[in-house]
Amino acid sequence: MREVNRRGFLTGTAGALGGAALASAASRTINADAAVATASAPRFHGPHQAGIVDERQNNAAFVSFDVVARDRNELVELLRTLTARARVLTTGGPVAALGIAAPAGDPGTLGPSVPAGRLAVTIGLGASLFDDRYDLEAAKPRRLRPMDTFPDDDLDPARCHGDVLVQLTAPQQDTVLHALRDLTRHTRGLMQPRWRIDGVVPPPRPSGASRNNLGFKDGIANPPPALADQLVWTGPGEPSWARGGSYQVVRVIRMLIEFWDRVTLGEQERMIGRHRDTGAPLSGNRETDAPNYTNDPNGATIPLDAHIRLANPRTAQADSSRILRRGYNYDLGIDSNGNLDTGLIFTCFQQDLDRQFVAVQNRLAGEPLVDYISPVGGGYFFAVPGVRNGADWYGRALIDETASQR
Amino acid sequence: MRAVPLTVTALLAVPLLAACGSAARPAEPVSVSVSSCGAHWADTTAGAQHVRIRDTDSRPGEAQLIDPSSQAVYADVEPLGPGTTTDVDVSLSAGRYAWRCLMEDEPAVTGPTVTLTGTAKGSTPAVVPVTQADLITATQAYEHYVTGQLPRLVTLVGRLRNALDDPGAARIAWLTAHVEYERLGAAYDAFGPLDAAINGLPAGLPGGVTDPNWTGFHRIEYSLWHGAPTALVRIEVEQLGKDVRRLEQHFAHAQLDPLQIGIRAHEITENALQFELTGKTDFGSNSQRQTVLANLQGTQTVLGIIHTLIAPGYPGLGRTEQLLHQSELDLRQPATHERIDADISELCERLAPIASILEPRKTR
Repeated sequence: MREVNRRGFLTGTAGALGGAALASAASRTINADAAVATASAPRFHGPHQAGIVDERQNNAAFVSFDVVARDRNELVELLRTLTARARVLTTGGPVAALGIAAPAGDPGTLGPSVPAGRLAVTIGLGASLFDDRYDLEAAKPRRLRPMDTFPDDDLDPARCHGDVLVQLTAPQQDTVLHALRDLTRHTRGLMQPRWRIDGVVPPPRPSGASRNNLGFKDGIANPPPALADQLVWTGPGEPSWARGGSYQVVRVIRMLIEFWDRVTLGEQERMIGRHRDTGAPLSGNRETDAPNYTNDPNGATIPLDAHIRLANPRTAQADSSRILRRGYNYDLGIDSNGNLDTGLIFTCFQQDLDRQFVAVQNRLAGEPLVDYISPVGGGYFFAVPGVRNGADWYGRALIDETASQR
Repeated sequence: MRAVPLTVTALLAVPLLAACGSAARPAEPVSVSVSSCGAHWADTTAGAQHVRIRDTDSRPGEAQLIDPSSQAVYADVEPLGPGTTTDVDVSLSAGRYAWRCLMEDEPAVTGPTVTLTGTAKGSTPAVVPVTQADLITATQAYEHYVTGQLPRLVTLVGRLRNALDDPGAARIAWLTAHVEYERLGAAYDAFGPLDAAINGLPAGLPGGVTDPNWTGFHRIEYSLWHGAPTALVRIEVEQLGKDVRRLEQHFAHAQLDPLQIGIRAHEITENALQFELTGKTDFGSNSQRQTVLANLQGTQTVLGIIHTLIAPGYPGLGRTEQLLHQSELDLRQPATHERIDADISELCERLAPIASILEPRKTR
């Protein structure tokens, strides 16, 4: 197996979110060939998992599993198996020859050799895994719990929660599906899929942030990577095994687009607080302009209940509640009344669930937009720290830490 | 020591290379033919092998990479058409190997034995081919088992007929007879069209559950659990009685394909996963768990019969049998649907290699 280079990973992901500030200037002076090689370099080992602060890839699957491992030994087998397969899938290379004593080990959908560095696997644990089944209660991350039900939600229990969340992202959909097929094949007796939703990041139209299915640019105002230690990775008060992890929220938000399309553009823009065409705040000209609330105390320009204003009022107090969003659009076909079942897989990472996502969500309660969107599923998960080296595996420190307490 | 033919071809290759200048050329493919089987196999370093082979014969055939002393097969390519080339990926530790070429209508030819040297550990798992005679013996044991069960099935369908006047008793009698049939599981293909008559689903019939051509256990289940008139159910059960007696007569003279026994091992559980655990076979009785339990007993029977044939080439057999046993316990408990899904789908994965191990392979 090729050596996995963490620096290569950071260098190769220069982009909107992750790389630009994280990668050093020197590392971006490499020649074009080397840049290509680095961009496709495997990225698996490191203090943090991939798929969090690095550049968002265009295709994603979010699959929640219930763990059915019979005991702690089987749970460890599950975590080790997930690690081994994720390592193979992200590192890439020729498919292992299993010979004639078994069916083929790989479905072949990516050809005879799995492309390297095209996939990010991100593993999160749900609160239910820390119940009494595996003696993990004492090591539960401080804020982890089943996803709250907010007043504007319409949650379907079959599409909520789960013991393990597998987030798979890649530039191409076939890579995502190949990885999911492999991970489920190797873990059938240990965990079973509970719910799944796939999404895409559409291309910029015509530039800047991608648009959601409401037609508005989404994810413009993400915090810079330099703030990851303050906003994304775990802070004080968490169990020591959790260092380097992050809380992940997934919300499957149905968008009632037929209704939305029957609303005037001006009203839509006042609900969001941005111009639809440019993405600029109603107080500005470009999408990168910061909204100006100090000169607009009564909401004459950006209404006080506009989505962006409630989500981030740009006060010193609200600064620490910023979240790192990585949304994906979804499209599932049609509803029983013939309406299109389409929406947003809202997902965000944060250091503290309550200080960040929950605070933002509480500020948004009852916003005018809630008539046009309907959260139907999702969950709270804890994205575990990265796999540090070839001997490490997902959650190893969690297992070690709880073993000493048994 | 290197076998003579390899040395000769190595020498022959020199002028060709010289004519093309110094540029590296891909090695000549290993020859698959009656006259020069195994020629050009030049890489003698143990480890991962990426071997290109070509049928240089005028006939189609099969190529096997074997250990000549144990007869274990490490790679098997079939069919290989005349003039075609294919790649074989296999890992081999240090040892002695040879290619065996089985060209159509010709006796097998084994090429020169080549010695691989090096420290690379770990070979691709090999299979020592089972003989046709072994498979026939196993198939006969299986036929014997089914033959022994069929009179009981006929009896149980008779009891169902006699219980029809009491709806509660009829439902119990239906379940008992149906589970008995499901326990035979392994023999679906052997029953041919009779299986469709005895245990068919309305899928594929234009009229669905009202289609007059839908007969058998599930048709009767639908009637019993949907309040059909007893006179109608009686007609359906009498048809089933005729069909199971026909099965009994037919099976006494049937000769099962020996190929099937190896495939059955995982197809019973594949069917359980696809049709039972999804509720596709439920027409009111909600008895899928009993059906899956009966299917697992069928799998158990098959595994018992082929145990000695697969044990040498299937290191996971012990764990698979343990999981089979645990799955039966889970079904009886009864455990959650997810637990059962996990059991049966994991069993499918673990049983799948048996078909490869028991695949009849020509050796002569």
